[in-house]
Amino acid sequence: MQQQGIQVIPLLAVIFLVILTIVLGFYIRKSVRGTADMYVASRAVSVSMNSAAISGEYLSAASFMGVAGMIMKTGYDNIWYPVGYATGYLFLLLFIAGPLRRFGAYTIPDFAEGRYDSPAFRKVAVILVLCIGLFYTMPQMKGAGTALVNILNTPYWVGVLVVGAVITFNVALGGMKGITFVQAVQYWIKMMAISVPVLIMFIYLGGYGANLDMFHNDNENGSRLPVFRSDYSATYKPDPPLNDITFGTTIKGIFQQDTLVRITPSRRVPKDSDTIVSQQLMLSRLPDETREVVLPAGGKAIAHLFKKGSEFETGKPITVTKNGETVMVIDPVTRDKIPLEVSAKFTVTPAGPEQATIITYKAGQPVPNAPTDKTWIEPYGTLTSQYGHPVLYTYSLIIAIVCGTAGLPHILVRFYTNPDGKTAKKTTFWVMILLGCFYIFPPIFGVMGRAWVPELYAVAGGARSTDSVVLVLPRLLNNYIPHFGDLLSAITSMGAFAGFMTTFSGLLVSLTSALAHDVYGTMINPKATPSQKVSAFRVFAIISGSTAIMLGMYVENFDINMMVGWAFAIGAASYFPMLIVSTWWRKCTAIGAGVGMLVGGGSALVAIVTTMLADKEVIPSLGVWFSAHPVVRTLCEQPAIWAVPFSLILIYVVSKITHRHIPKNSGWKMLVLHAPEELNLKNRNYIEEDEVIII
Amino acid sequence: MSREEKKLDLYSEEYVNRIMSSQFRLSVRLFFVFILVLLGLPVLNLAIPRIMNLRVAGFTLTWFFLAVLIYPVTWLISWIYVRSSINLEREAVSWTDPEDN
Repeated sequence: MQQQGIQVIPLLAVIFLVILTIVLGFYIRKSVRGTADMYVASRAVSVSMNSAAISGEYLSAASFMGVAGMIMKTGYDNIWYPVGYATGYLFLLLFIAGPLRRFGAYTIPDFAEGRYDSPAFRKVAVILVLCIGLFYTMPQMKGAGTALVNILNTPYWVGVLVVGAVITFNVALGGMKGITFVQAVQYWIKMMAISVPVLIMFIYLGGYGANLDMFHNDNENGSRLPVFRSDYSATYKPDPPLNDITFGTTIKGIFQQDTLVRITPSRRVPKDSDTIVSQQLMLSRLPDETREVVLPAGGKAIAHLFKKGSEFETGKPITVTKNGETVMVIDPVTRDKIPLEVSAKFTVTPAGPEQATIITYKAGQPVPNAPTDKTWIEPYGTLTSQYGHPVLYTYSLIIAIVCGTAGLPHILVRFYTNPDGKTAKKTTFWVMILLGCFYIFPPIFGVMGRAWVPELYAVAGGARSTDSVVLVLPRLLNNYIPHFGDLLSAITSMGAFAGFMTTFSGLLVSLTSALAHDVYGTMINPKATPSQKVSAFRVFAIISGSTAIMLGMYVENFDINMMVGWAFAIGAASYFPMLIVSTWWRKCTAIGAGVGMLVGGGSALVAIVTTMLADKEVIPSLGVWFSAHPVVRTLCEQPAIWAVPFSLILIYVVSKITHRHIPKNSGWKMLVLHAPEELNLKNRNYIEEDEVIII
Repeated sequence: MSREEKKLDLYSEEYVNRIMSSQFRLSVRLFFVFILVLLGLPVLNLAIPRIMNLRVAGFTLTWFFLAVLIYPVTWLISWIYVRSSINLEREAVSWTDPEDN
């Protein structure tokens, strides 16, 4: 199954996609006629084109590869991600889409300034656009880099550079108008790339229900684990937490090199319980030779030295005792008292000069790190229960994704490309249909991945983990028809690549608009001629494109989902509250909206960053403190449940305090936001479009 | 001068309030339906896990609902919204017509 060297068919698919994108860019360039084209495609994009373009832009690599991988990894709870991504648009539709378009701005900072007549507010909004935009470009870049590593075995930076350069080129040439058509085409490429392989796999590997049926949730078989289908060698890099291996039950393996192994219980046990020695967790005898290792969190521990070629076998779960009596814990979901059981967890580091540890598992052995059938298929599994507060975690996750969708500037700015408020609403409706159809498929990849390629569980992260299920699973069909699996894998690689490219181009347009329109066109040189504005757009496209490429090269070791989470959490706690209050509450002041937006978004960011610092063991004591305070840990990892209300309350309170600064003409602003176009209001568009010029 | 009259009405405080509150009522009503579906499912998963985890053709009920059925439900809600909201706008145009007052 493991393939080395260049994979020709996926490579050809990716080259085809890149060339298609460049050609489309050139083709569109001929028709670009001014700033309105560059920023909002002259507000003349049809419903069918715009809904495909919005969907194409939104379906990033995280949707394409990440969702399937997460569902395979921890099961049911992760389905909330695609559901939130798709249904977040209902929020946008009900409260924001129509009014936002009616205001007739080019960018969100335009809206911020125009709604409150406050140039200062524009500056605050620009900073946030750049902040969210750059946070969200980093995971796209990282995804592009690692995908090319998988396909071509190139160094990481090549993928970042190729994707970055192609998209920067396209955006600089055609702006919003250029990318709209490309994105609409790429939605259909992605839809095909995820659905066709699934439908073909149904024929050979069984249908959706039949695959789910392989997993049991009855008491008898619910504790089953997936097993290796063939002998498999897993590579563990010594970066925590990638070198942690949790063995749910008795599993045999063979070390391929001299390896230092620290053996600990798989779950935290109470301090005063009876000591569990490493040998209790093992069936095989531990080697006599040990070394003392320094723990990242401070302190020292004993690690066992396993020689090259030595075999080990972990033990079945054992109950934790205290003075000989079984320790009982409360199940977070059922509230039943159950005995606390632990099994073995290895933390492996190479003892010799090797870069990584390799362990070989024989066919038929259960796969380490995999959740049991029951915890995987039922709600409140490993993801949400990890800190013992599954319901809190679930709700906060839902709020973060739903509100975050409604707060992503590169998505919001697309509503300005609609001809009017009515079409903005119709477009959103169609976006929900296109996205819903797409998001039915990634969970199927997760289910079939657990059934057919469970070896991806063996390593918790990196290039050959559950994250690559979309690329690895279709290759199984090589066993039925030669090279057919490679062909399907090429199709999914192309879809993943389209994911990085479209989302990055959307982000680049919103970053460039923020710099060229909000900073250059409004603050630095308000008297710029139309052709100056167009060249400014191109210059800033190249500047922000290169910045994104450089940042992308720096984030190789960051986790894609983590970075996406940052962008969503900041969006949910900043733009979303600001927009919803600005469009519906006329007594809101610029100071109130600004404070709520900044403090809300900022506190969500700080909370998430602290959990990252704890996880990566940058501040080890923080991790210790978090494990003693699971509620705080849950609230910091998923801050939306408090950060969104916090931001809304701040906006309300500060607006009340500064009530003397309520814009005098807020009634008029509300009329512009909510009155239908047929009324022909005067000064309808906040931005008057430049006359058309030929460039 | 009927044109002047129309403008007065359109730019009046009363007109803004009326159009905002009718749009807002529509949005909030559908929003509550959506919230009930979205936030109700975790409650059901917690309260009646046996029923939600029943197996039907391989799926558990809750898996089928969350991974497949929830999308058509949101489509229905948004379809109702788009239709009623556009109707409401058509009506709102007539509010300013002097003959209707």
